[in-house]
Amino acid sequence: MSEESPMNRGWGSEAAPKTGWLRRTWETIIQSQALVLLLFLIIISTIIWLISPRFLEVGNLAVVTRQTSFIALVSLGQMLCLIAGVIDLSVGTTAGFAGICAALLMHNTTMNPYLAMACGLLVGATVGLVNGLLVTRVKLNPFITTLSMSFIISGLILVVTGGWAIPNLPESIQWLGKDSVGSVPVPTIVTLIVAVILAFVLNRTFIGRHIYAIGGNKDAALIVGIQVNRLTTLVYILSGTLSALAGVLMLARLASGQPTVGDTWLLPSFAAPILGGAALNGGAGSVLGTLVGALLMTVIQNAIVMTGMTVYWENVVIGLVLVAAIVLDRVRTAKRG
Amino acid sequence: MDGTNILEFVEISKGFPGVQALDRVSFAVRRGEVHAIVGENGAGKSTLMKIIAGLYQPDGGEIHLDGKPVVLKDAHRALGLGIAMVPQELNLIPEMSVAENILLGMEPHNSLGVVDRNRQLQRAGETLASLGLEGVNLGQRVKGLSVAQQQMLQIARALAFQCNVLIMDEPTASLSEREQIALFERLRMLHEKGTTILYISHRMEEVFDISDRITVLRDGKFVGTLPREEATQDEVVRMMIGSTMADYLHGRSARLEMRRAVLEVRDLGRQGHFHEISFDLHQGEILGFAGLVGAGRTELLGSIFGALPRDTGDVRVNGQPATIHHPADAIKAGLGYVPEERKRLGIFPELSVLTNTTIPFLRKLQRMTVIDRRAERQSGEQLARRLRVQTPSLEQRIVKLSGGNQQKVILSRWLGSGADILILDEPTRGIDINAKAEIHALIAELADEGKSIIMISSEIQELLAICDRILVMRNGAIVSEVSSATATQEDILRLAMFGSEATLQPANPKI
Repeated sequence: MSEESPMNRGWGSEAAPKTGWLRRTWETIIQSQALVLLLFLIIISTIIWLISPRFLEVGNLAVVTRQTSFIALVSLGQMLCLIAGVIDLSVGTTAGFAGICAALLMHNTTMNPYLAMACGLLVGATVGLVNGLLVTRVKLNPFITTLSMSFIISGLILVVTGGWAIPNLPESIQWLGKDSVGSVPVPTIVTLIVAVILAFVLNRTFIGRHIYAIGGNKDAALIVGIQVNRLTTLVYILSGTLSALAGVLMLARLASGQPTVGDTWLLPSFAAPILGGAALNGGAGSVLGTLVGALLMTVIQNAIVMTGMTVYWENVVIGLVLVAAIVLDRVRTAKRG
Repeated sequence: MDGTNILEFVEISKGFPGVQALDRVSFAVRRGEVHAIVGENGAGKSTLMKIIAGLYQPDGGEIHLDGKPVVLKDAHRALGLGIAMVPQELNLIPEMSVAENILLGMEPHNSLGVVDRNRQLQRAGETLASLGLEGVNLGQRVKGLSVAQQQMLQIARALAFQCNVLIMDEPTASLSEREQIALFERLRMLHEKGTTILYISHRMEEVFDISDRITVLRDGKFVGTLPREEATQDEVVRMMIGSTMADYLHGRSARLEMRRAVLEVRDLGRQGHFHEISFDLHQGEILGFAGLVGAGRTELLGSIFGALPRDTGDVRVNGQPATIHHPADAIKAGLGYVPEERKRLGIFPELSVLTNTTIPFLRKLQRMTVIDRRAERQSGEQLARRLRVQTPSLEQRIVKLSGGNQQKVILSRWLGSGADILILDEPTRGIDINAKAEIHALIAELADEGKSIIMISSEIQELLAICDRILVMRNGAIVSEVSSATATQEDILRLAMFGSEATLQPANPKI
């Protein structure tokens, strides 16, 4: 038999396609949603900077990244849900509710304020747990379940606050929302730490792989021994906890418990991960992409302020960006064929 | 046939981890005879043939060719000595023409090394003619040929190499009845021309049809060689399984007792799907499940794996009671499952071939909770090579692969996870004919290595060719057990349709 013995045919004997590192790098860039998005972000920023040069001043950039961190945290939670093939419509209200609970504990008890914030996180985790159990054990539809949960929570916020803000919170916690290390705001640092941990878990541990697998094909995931129900519940718990983290950081920043916190976070929480490559029907999504997506959302909001447009345009623009993101998702799905 | 020995095996031994596939096997093959080698799956017959073809090296013993000891260090050497094997998985090059494939590696050429097309065509034509195959389109690409035709080409290739010993490894597994008759005609022609043929099978009918002498192997040991005229089917079957058929089917044979039961299923039931299901699966055994669609086979095996519910019954794995409520429990107990619906239950379409391969055994690939990517890649490459998965790279999304290659990836998962018990539900449905033969060969190979396999198929022919025993299900119950050595398609079909009360002709009334 000759060298090209068909016994060796197939994948094993073929050498890897030889391409230069330049070409490989280029292909990686093209294929990575996050990097394409980053390019887009740079272009938009340049345009804004040409219109309003103050945009790139350090002070304004700190404002942008601080604002981004809240959106980014809820978006990371939503991203986990999207990867696992479910959605969480209660991220915004969970953030608000966690903040209000922490504020009430600080206002009405002598509890250590940090402990009160931890309780806020626990509230978020609990909301996630309930969402997760309803979806996986009672087998309810994720959309309706979390939509109902969102209504219940926003109602609860009004019940406990009567619609009023909770003032006079301890000053000791405000550094978490307001201070900076150098010129990097503390919430931004917290978000980056969370993002690094999440990226590690998603890419380098079997739990991360299993979450992608569940979103990729839930039934096949069961066959390969993945604890689909448990992991989906875990994803909801993480989503609730991350939203709560955004809520209590916002509490520290505002130094008062505002019942409206998180009201406008739901739509960006979808737009950011989907812009960053997450698939609406599950199985795909990246931390880096979501962060860049969240930054893009905030830059657009900031640009409306900086260029002197009326703020009422904000919702219109965010809605348009979300539609664009979904169109992108559609195109990606079609291309996969 | 001049009565001298062309091949002699002297104390040949070969072990795999955990299994002694061949244990000091000695016998002789006479020049010009058709010598059948029979035995159940795991008896070691395929291992022995791979040693003769130079694909495996024995741990001990000698092979004598024409009275002289030879070392067959690889397939090339064996071919040079005139020994050629037609493997179960055919290995022609699909993109090449018929003529090119026949003369592959020995193309007629001029002094400059340029292939002489005319002589190539002429010699390929002559070779085919010597097999009685005239009028074949020599320029046709192999890709479009049937398994039977490819098998003929493979035999032609062996003849072109002037081989005088031809090894046929379970050649009828993927053939229709008509194709089988045609194959036998060709083999008889070769026989008349003096070619020695080693014919491996476990189907009595074929063996008695074609062979001059029959050698029986059991559990890696030589049991005996009988001239066909002096042998009866009963006797050969008894030698193969070490007891009578009746004892064998009730799990009491010496062979089955020697091989421990790895899976014991007792009184399994699920309302409306199956009831009172009990059976044992032994180490190295391939157990088939036949039945009509809706007989409850998929529901039963899915419930054993924990993917589908059941109401009653117990399962023991390796003698230990196993509580399997979730596939994760089953995997931990050493089971693997290839589902019938590949698209819905098998693949993660958007994930890579590598991720699809390693997903059930990532925990084995991690160090301190972190996936060791190098180990993962190595494992993936190894499995892809072993199963000959054809993909441009391991990063390719699995949905881009052909059905056969997807199925190989799904099978490779369970080799990687180290499963000892494999449940295969219609493993060859909807995949191309070559991949099908490859999967058949792989299943036999796994049984040789001591793995135990349960297989559902709606092709009775396939079950007869591959399995040792076959359980026939009807309306959610096991109605009968047959041995694939002697049962016929009609027997099984009758049982599947009418149950055991129907006028069943015992496969072999004397036993």
